Amino acid sequence: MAAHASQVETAGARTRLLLLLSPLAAFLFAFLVLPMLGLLRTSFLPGERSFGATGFSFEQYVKFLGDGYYLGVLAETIGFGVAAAFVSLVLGFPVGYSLARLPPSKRRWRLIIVILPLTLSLVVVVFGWLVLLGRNGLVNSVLVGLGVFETPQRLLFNRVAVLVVLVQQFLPFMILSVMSVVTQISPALEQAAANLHANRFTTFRRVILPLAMPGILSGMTLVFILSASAFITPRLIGGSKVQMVGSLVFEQVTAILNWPFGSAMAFVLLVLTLVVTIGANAALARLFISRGISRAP
Amino acid sequence: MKRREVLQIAGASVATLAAPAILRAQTKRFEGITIRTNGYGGDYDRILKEYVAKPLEEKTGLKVEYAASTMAAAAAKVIAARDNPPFDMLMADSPGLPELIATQIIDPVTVKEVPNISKLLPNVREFGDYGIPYLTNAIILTYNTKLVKQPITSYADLARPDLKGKVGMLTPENTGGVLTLIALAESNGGSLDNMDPAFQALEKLRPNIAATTPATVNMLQMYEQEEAWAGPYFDGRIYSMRVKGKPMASVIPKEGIYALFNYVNPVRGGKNREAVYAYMNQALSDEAIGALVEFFRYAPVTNVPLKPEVAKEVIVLADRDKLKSVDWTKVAKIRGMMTERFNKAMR
Repeated sequence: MAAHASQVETAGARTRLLLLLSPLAAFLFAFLVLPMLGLLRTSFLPGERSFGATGFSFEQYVKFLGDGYYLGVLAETIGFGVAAAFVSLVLGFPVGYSLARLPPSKRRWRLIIVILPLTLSLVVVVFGWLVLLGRNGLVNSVLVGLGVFETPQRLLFNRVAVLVVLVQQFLPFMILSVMSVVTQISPALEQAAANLHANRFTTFRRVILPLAMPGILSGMTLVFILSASAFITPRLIGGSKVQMVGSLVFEQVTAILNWPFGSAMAFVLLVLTLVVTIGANAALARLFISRGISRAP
Repeated sequence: MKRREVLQIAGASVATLAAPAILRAQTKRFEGITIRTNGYGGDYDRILKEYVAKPLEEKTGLKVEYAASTMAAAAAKVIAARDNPPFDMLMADSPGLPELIATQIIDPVTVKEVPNISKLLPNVREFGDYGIPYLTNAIILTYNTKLVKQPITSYADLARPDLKGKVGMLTPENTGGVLTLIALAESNGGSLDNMDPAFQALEKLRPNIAATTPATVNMLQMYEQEEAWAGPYFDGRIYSMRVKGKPMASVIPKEGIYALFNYVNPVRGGKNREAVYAYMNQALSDEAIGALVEFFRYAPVTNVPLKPEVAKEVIVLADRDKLKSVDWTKVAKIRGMMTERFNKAMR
């Protein structure tokens, strides 16, 4: 009888949860899932136009995956995503950790500074970088003034410039992800490790890092996905030398109006991004879980 | 006299005095009507509002709403709602017209509906009775006279050794980039049917290219920051840099001038067609075209009288005979190929 009552209670809780989630689910279905299904269908249309087009063909995918140029751009896009994720981790983890260890009153204003770039339009930020890194910009003026260079250097239109701007744009996501997880790690654990004669590096490696891994993974995932799908930054900062799939999709859809090919490229990028993200998360999670189990008493 | 009688007499007096004004307002031809169009945004829309929409409203009571958006986005909205289109007019440039005609979302216009069409110069209507052009945007050459010692006179000069890493170029995503490639093709024995010479010339030019960009404003920044010293660019934009003190020369290339036109088009199925025609007529007036030319220094499509100091800076004006015609329908068919080959060549 008690078991039956418990089952009824669980079913009731599940129903209430479904009812709470259903408005969001309906919204996402209408404005995300359905449009994406429409795009998926468009990617299987033959020809260069979707208006009035019919039929089913793999030609868009064959064109993309069968051309070394597009595969090269795809590889470079994934590469930028991975590089931005790792650079963001190196720069963002110390900031996230220090924010987490501050008392809330001191954390508040620093957090606002971290979040502030996210409130600006991406286009405005990128144009700002064009001015900053330009031949007559602040960076060149400082370098020439300090005598590092005799004449202004070309700092724009290369891969390093694109990576710098991508990292600047998406670093807040890494900082916030790390901060939210480290906040939940009790400082007593670090004190206990110190008591057991662990130095700071050992404490970081064996206590902080494994416990912060969920935050690190979610931060890296966010930065990777956002960087791999970027199109404004490579278009304006990269010149012609740095080409990413997002820029090519934008070009196909808005200038050439080739929605079938643009849709196919977008889905290839989506699938590959998901594969890399899920694979990396699973591998790292297994690594740290198996280490945790092997060390368990 | 009772108070009620006083109030009645007062009310009747006010109505009598106000009647002419009320009647005048009610007789304005398009009173209470608003037409909607997409817009280019910024100064362009500001000038159109000032010299087209405002005089129209004063004369006819017609209101005009501009919604800044790309032609592709605006056209997509019209296609999605053909029975009740969100726009009464569409503004588009030459490359966009073949698509608008093919998808049957715009109607032709003749001099019967818009009398000021008679003012248009010959050969500016590229699509028969479709589209009313009102401004020319030409691709010419520019160079920084402080940094480039030897003048540039042709596209071939851009491959000179002294310009290594100093040439800025628009990509074919931008119509300026398309016009540049057509110029490179035709000046090297090619055509829209054979673009190979364009890409062979591009290969020779490649070591000199500092960067390419699809955004006109980004190219402006490149010249202002001196990342680029020379290259093909829009005539009006070159003038705008000179006005801000940048020593940029405007050069009519030996190979000729390649240009696009800005068009306004009535949307099929749109309401208030008579009001749309009135707008188009005003857009072709000397008042409107003169204002656009004076601000941008783009070449007009009519013989609008210009002040001498303005005419002097409209670089294409004296060389209209060098304007080359472009088959935009063919361009629409090969633009994908041009873009792909360009991207591969630049990588």
